[in-house]
Amino acid sequence: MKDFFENPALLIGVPMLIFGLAGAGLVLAAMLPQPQTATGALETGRFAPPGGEAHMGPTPAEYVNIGLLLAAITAVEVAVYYVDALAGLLVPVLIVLSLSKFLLVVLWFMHLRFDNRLFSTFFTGGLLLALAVFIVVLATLKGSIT
Amino acid sequence: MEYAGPTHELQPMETSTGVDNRKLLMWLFLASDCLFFGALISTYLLYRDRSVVGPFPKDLYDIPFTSVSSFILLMSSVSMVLALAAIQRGDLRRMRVWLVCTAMLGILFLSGQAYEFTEFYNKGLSLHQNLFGSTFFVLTGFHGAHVTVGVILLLSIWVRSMQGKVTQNDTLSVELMGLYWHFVDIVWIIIFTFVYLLTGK
Amino acid sequence: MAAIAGHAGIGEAHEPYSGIWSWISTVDHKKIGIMYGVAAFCFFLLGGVEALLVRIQLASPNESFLSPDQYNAIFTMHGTTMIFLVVMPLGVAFMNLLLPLMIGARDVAFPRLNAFSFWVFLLGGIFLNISFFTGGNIFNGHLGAPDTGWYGYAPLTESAFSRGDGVDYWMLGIQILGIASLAGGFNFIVTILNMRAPGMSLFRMPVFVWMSLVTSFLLIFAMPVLSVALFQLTFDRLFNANFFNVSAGGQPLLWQHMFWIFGHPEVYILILPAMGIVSEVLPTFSRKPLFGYPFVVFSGIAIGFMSWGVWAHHMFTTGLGAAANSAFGISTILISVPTGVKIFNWLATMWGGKLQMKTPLYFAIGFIAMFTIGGLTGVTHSAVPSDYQQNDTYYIVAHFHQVLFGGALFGIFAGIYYWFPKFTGKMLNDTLGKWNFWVMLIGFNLTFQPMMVLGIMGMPRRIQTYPDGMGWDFWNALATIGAFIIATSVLIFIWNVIHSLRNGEVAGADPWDARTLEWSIPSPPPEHNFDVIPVVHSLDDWWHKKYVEDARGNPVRVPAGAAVATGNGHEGGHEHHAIHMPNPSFFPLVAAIGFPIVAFGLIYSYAIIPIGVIVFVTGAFGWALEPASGD
Repeated sequence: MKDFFENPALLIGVPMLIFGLAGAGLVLAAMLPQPQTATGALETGRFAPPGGEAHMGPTPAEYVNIGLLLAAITAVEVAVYYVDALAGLLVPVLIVLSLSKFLLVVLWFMHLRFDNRLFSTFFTGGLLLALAVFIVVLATLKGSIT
Repeated sequence: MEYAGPTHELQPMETSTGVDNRKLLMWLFLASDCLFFGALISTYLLYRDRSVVGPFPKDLYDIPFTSVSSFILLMSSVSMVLALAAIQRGDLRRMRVWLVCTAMLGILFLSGQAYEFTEFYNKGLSLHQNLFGSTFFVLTGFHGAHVTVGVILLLSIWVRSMQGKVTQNDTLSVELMGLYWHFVDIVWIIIFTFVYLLTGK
Repeated sequence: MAAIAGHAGIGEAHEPYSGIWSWISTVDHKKIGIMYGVAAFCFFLLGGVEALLVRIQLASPNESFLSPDQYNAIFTMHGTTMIFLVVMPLGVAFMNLLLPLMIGARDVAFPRLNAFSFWVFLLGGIFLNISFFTGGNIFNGHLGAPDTGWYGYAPLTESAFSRGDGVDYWMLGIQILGIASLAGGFNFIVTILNMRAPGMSLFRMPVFVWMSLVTSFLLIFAMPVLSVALFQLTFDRLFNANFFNVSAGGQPLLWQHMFWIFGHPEVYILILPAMGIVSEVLPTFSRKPLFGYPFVVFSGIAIGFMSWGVWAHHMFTTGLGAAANSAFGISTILISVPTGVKIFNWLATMWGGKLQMKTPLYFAIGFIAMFTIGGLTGVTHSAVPSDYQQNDTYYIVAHFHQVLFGGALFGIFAGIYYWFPKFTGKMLNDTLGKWNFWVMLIGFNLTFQPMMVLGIMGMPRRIQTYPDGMGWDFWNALATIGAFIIATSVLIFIWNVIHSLRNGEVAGADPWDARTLEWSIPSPPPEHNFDVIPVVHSLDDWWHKKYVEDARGNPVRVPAGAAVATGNGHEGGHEHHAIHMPNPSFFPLVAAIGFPIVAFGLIYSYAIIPIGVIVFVTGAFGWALEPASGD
């Protein structure tokens, strides 16, 4: 148990794996039949898309604004990289910035924010699974090799 | 409750979940591809300071150059989403313009990658030279292969559209194209941060 | 009903090719499923002959029937063949045949992708086996096949240690097979989620459909990891990269991690379809509903999740450290819980049922017994110190054959005996079937139980021969005799199939008085499956259309005719004018042919690669541009 607490990667990795598996559980949670309220209708296991059938999503102008935001974040990333005073914060700052870019593209350009929940759960499932599994791989490999 | 009988990929039909078959397929593919790039990026991170001989990342990375090509790929995502917005409102002419624009930005990004690969190779980095060479070329190479496939698909849709074979009914094709293209873009967002910025120093 | 008679002829009108061309161009899930099954069975015979060669070599000490090189090639190809070319595709064959029928659909979501998946599988399997003929003259006993084990551990697979072309064939062949599995996985998920008949909610789906869904998710998430590992090996071998090159700082352990991240979900990819089959067979022959349907489904899902957290139990002896070993040991113990839940549910299904002692039930019971032994021996590996002793001994060999043969293959045989009448219209002979079962059960136990003993006695795996006086002679001789008894049982099966196809009893639509939708249509099913898409009201819908319960809960047959009236009623109020079936297509085959050509190019001459690419692109564009269905 001792080396579990001494290896920070394991300390993060193992809970991440559990977290990841739980996250992947969302995939299936999304597939469970929704409570049917319609009376007399056959239960079909149908998923109602939030917000109805109408075309949803941003306008072209909003797309351009998001694009500008993405460019700005990239500029900040590069700037942070060159500022020596921020060297100690480089890792967390860059992770947060790239994560925000990632989310902007996925949620708006790929419409996950507006689209059927099925897509976001599958994609999140794959993403979390990859994250969890490979954090554990890196953690155990770093632990078992020198 | 209407339920259409025919079961094949081209005719729109009502599905049990209410989502289109092809769109579901695309999202499943992207989820699966997360594991693919996850494995490649993890290998890069595992090996990042284990190269026995140089050149090392800090000797080679040209951050301003890569920032520009990252910017180009981000902008291609914007033009892609504008192509989708155009076909959604039935503006096929603008859709074609944005599609070509996206493809051109993709090609520009690939040219930048080709230039970078040549430059690194001339400075002594090869697949065989060290672990950095192996992991870097294979990871960015597979990303480049995804971009190449994307460019070919974009140009195919564009050619079909010039032949008048793409109408507002084919919005879904452009939407799926966009999903693939944006995914390639977010993979690059991760690569730019974790492969270039975080290991470049 | 007049409308239905009207489009009875549509199926034939849609079949522009006849004879062998109708099979090559088919996009019909039933034909593809049969082709998957037949191809996998041929590979099964090949892998079985390889197993017999291995057993002849090990029958007695200091045997020299096979040289060490030949032995390595044969046991590697036996493992690779049985996993990638037999058990996986047999599971896929059942999914192809059954999924659309069980959920009330006319075909899978992407029929041409389905055909593509089959052709890629077939060509990949043939490509892998061509390796036997490389690297010298096979008639002089020189086998060019891969000789590094089915797990291909680095750095043994690196070009410095494996100089021939065998490993190249292995890594590229499995890469190609991975494409087939991915295509199948995507297709089945979309089919199950999107193509269900009205009223077929997720929790009204048969358990086999559920297990297929879990299997498909495992496929699409596990295959990319293996793909990357194989690509890294490919770059190492063909382009001198350093991924597993120790002198350059590479970590061979990375291969083991990636391989088993794929490999452990793979174990469940192999067994879950068999569990699904058994969950269909047992209720039918016990004449009772499956005991605890939600528990069986949820434990299948739980197995799917947990299979991602146990891969390092294949690596306890690699020095992961106490923390990682403990974590993976515990997760391995936990994964036996949902498996145990299923076993108890199956037993409770039979408990108090009116057991119909037919061959499928024999094999299903054989599955439960043998798989339980296999599962329990597996639990003994989860205790890390115990695993240190068992690792690389015949105990491990005994364990995984116990689950993959005693488990997966017994389940698959149950499925073959159960659904053969549905897809051929003929019953398999029940007497021959029972002979098949008993001979196989005896042969199986004679082969693999002695291996448990050998393992405990310390006999290592993967050895070509062993010296006299170790006390291993008797048990090895017994295992070899057992292997030939298994071979006999397979011959009985083949004879049964040939005999029954020729003179078998004609099966009606529903010979077993079964529970699921595929039995509500004629045997063999028409090309469009359902004249009218059924409307589903409950779990085991077909059963409830045939039977109602009396006051004491006993099933009472609904008078003849009433079943048809409710079964094909127009409650949905939909009017079918014509049934559009997808057109046959040659393009999936054309696209598939591109892959082995590229692989040959990578091994022999890069000049061939563009040809393969052009073939693939031709197939892909032809596919994209041709109309999917015509009127």
